[in-house]
Amino acid sequence: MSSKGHQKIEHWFTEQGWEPFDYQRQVWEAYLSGKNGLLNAPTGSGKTYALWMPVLINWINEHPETYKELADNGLQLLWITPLRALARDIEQALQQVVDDLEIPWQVARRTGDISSHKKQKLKEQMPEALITTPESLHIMMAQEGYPGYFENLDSVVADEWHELLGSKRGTQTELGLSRLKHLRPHLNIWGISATIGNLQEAQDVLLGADASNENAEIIKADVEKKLEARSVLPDDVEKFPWSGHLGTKLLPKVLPIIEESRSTLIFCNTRSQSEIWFQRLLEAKPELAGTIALHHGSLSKEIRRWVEQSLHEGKLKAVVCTSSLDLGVDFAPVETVVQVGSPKGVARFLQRAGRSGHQPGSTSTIHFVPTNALELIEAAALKTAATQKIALESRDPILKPYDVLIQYLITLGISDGFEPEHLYKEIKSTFAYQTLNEKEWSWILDFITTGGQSLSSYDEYSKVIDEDGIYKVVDKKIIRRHRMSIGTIASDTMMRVKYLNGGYLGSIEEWFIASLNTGDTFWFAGRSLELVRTKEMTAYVRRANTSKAKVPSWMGGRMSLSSNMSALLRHKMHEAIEGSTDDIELKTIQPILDVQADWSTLPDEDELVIEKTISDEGHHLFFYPFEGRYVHEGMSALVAYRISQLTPITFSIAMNDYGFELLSDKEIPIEEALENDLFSDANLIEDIFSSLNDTELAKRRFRGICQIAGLIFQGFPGQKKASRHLQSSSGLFFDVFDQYEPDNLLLQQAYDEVLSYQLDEVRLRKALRRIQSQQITLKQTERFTPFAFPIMVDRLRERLSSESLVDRVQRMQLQLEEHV
Amino acid sequence: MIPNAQACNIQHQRFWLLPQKAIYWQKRKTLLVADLHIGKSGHFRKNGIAVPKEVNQSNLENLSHLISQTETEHLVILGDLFHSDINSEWQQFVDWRKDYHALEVSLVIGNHDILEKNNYHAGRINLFKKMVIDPFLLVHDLNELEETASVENYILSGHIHPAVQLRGRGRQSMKLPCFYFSQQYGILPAFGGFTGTYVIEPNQDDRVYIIADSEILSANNINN
Repeated sequence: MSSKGHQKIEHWFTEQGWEPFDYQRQVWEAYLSGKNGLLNAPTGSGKTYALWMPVLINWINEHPETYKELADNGLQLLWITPLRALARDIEQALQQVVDDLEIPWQVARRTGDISSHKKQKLKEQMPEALITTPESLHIMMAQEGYPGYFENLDSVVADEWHELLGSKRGTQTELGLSRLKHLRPHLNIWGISATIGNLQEAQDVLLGADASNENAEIIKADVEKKLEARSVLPDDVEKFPWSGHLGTKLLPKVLPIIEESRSTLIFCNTRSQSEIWFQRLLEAKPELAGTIALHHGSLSKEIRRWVEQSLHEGKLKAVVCTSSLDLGVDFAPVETVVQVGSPKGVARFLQRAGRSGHQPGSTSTIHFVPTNALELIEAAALKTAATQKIALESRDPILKPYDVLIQYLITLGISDGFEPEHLYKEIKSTFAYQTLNEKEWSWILDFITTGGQSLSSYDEYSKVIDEDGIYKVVDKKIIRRHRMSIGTIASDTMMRVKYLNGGYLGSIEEWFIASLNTGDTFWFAGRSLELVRTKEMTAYVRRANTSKAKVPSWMGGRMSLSSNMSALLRHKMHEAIEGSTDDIELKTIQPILDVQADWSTLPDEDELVIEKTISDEGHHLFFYPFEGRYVHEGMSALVAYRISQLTPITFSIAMNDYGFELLSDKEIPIEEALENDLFSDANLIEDIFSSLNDTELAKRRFRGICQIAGLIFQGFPGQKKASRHLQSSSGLFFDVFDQYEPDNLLLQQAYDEVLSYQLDEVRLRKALRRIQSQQITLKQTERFTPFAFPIMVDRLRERLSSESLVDRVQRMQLQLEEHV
Repeated sequence: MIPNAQACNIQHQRFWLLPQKAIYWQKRKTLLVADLHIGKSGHFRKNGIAVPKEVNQSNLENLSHLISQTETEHLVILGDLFHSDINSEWQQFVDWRKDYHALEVSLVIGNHDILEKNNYHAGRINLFKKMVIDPFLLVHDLNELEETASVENYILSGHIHPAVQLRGRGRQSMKLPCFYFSQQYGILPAFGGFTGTYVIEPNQDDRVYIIADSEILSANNINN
C-alpha cells in the first residue's frame, strides 16, 4: 500500500499532528481500487479528507516525477454540495492540502453567488477541483460546448447527500450525474451522508439504476460522540401556554445556559422566530450586545460569513440560528446547543446536538426549549430517542418528477441539443426515472416541442425544435429565461434589503415588503429598520430607534412529525396514563394532562379520541391520531369527504402534529359516519382523489411544479416589466389545464406529489389500519380542551364542501368595508 | 334569452347581467363585455409556455353563444380585447368576426390593446379612447380618467377583474368574481377564460352581483 502517493499523504497528516482515521484509509483504498460508494460520516469528522486524499494519491502515483509541475490539467474532481455557504469552507480545506503538497492545482467554486467575472474565468480555464451546487452544475450544462469542461473529469463527490436525497435537487443531481457518466464512462462517484434510515437506498439513488452493486461500497465512520439531552422546564406549568410556537416565555431560563457555556448555538425552526429570539435576548440582557449574533438563510452572505468567522474565533457567546447552521464545518468553541420548539424528527435533533462539543472526549449537549405545554411530551420522546438510539428516519427519494425532467431537457436543448432516443436510455439509467415509460417520454417530448397539443393553424407554439434529429432551443428569449430559472426550485419572489448608503443586509419575501408603508419599521438581521423606499426589487432602509417593529414571517413549509417520533409520542402518552414514567417532562406536564382527562379523556396508545364541541363559530370535531401534520392533512380531507357524502355540508379543516379539526356551520353527523366505517382503508385512493378535487392541496402543489417546468416566470432581476404579459399565477394554470387538458402529466404530478410526499399514502394507510383495530372514544366536551385549543387557533385552513356553490353563497356574508 | 340572467336597473336603464360575465342592454341591443384577453394563450405558447390553446377558442364560443341567444346588434368591449403583441389568435378572432356581418363591434382601448390600427380595421372594430352611450360613459380603467369632476355620465368600466370575498360561519370563506355598481360607476368582471381576479371591498351602498357558477346572486340580498 505504500505507494508514493500514500507516503506523501500520510506524511501530510503527520505534519498536521494527526493520524488518519481507519475509515478514511478504508475510503482511500476503496476509491483507489476503482470502487464507487457512500461514506456515512457526520459533519466535522474529517470526511472531506476521506475523499480528497485518494484523488491526490492517485494523481501523485500517476505522475510520480512531474506532479509538482503539471498545471492546468483540466477538471479532475467535481464536488457537489447542497449549500452555497458550505462551498467556501470546502474550497479552503482542499486548497490548503494541495498547497502544502506543492501540487500546482487550482480549487474553485462555481455557485450562484460568485461574480460573473469569475464565472467567465472558469470558462476559459477549468480548475482541477470545482465545488458547485446541483443548480450550478445544470447551468454549466446549459452552455454551448459544455462537454469540454468535463473531458478530464475523474470523480464526483456528492457531499451532504442525505440533504439532497429527498428533494428535487437530488433528482437534479441524478440527472447531472447520468450525463457525466455518459461523457466519462469510468467516472468515480462517491456520496457523503449523515446517518439516515436508508443508507443502502441512498447509495442506489446516487449511483443510478444501471450501477452494479459489486463495484460499490458503503463505509461507515465509527466516530461516536456522547450525547446529553436536557429539557428546559417551566416552573409553573399551569401558566404555561397551551399553544404557540415562540417559546420566549422560557427565555430567562436560557440565559444561564448561555452564561455557563463558552459558545452556544440556539436553533429556531423559522427565520422569524430567530429574529424574535435575538431581539428578546437583547432586551432581557442588554449587555449581551456585541457578543450574540443572528444567522439565517435570508441574511446576506457577508453577514453570515462574519458570524461564522466570529464563531470560529470564539468571539461570540451565542448565535441564534435556523437550519442555516445545520450543516458545514464545525465551530470548535461551541459547547452547547439549544433547540427552541419541536425539531419534528430524531435525526434533526441529533444532527443539531452534534454541533456542540468538539474537544476530544467531550460530550454534545443539547437543551430542548418547549414552546407550548404539549411539546413537553415531545421533549420526553426526543430524549428517549436520542439516548436509546431509536431507529432514525429515512429520506425517501423523489420518483419521476416530470417538472425536473422537462427543465433538464430544455437545459440540454439550449446548449448542445440532444438526440431523444439516445437521451431516453441515459435518463432511464437514473434511479428516479428508471420506470419512465415510452408513453410518458413521448408526452414530455410533445410538451416541449408542440406544447402538448396537435398543431393547428392558429398555433405558434415554439420552444424546442427538431434540427435533423437534434432537439434544440434557438429562441434567444427562451434561452435567457431558462438560464435565469434553473436555480429557482421553489422559491418565492425575494426583495433585497439594503441600507441607503448601499450596505446589503439580505432578502425578504416580496409580499412582506408590500404589506409595509414607507416609514414603517420592521425587524430584520437583528436590527430594527425603517423602510425608506422601494425601487424595483430592492427595499432601501435606515436604522430605526424604535423596538416596536413588525417581524417578517417567511413562508416556508411547515414540517411534520416523523413516523418514528409520532409512534414514540403515542407511547409517551401511554406511559403518562399508566403513571409508569420517570420522565421529568411528563411529570411537569401532568397538571395539564389532568385537565385534559377531566374535561375529556387522555388518548391512550390503542385508542382514538374524538371530541365534539359547539361554539359561536359552529360545530367542531377534534380527532387525535398523533400521526404528524402530513398524515393528518390527508386523513382530515378523507374523513371530511366521507362525512360530506352523507349530507350536503361544508367544512373548514385545521391540523397540527397531534390531531385535526373539522369545523362546520351545521351539525356534523359523526355518529352515523362512524357506523359507516369512517376510517376504512378501502377505496382510499378514490376517496382521497375526490377529496383533493374539493380542496386546494393539489393546486398549491402545482405552484412549485409550474416554476420548475418553466410555466411561471418570475422576471429578470430589475426589469420585471419586460415580461409583464407573460405573468400568470399557478392557480390559473391549474384551472385551464384542469378544464382543457386534464391528462396533462404535470397536473397528474401535482396529484401524485400530494399523495406520496405530502399526504404520504403509505403512512396514511398504516394509520387507518391502526385506527380500525383501536377503540374509538367519542366525547362531548363543554369547551376546548388542552389538546383541542392549539388546533382550533390555527388560521391556516383547508376547505371541503359537498354543497352547491349557490347554497353556500346564500349563507355567507359579503365583507363590507367599514362604512365611511 | 339567457337562462339565469339577472335584471338590474342602472340609471333607469334595465341591464341583464349574464353569468357568462357580460351585460346585455336590451333597449340598445348592446352586449357589454370587458377584458377578453384574446391571444393570451397564444402569447404564452409563442414564448414557449404550453397553455392549452382551447382557451382562446372557448372565449370566442362563449361570445357566439351570447350573441345568438340575444338580439345583439352592437358588441362593446370595455378594453383589453387582445392581450399583447400580435399573434395568430388575432387571425382567429378576425375569422370569427367574419361570421357576424351585421354586428357592430366597438372597443374602448385598454392598456393591453397595443395592436397596430390596421389590425383592428381588419376586424372591423370601431376604436374609442372613451365612449359615450347616454346615459353612460364607457372607459377601460376608471382610475385613468382625469380628475375632472365634470363627468356627468355614469361610468362603466373594466380593467380590475373584480371579485369579492365572502365569509360565513364555521370559518368559511370564498372568493367569487362579481359585477360591481357604486353610485357613480360600475365595473364589469373579466370575460376572458384565462384571467385572474382582484378582490375589491365594497361599501354598504354599493350593489354587488356575485357570479356563482351559472347563477348570479345579489350580494345585497344574501344573509345581510
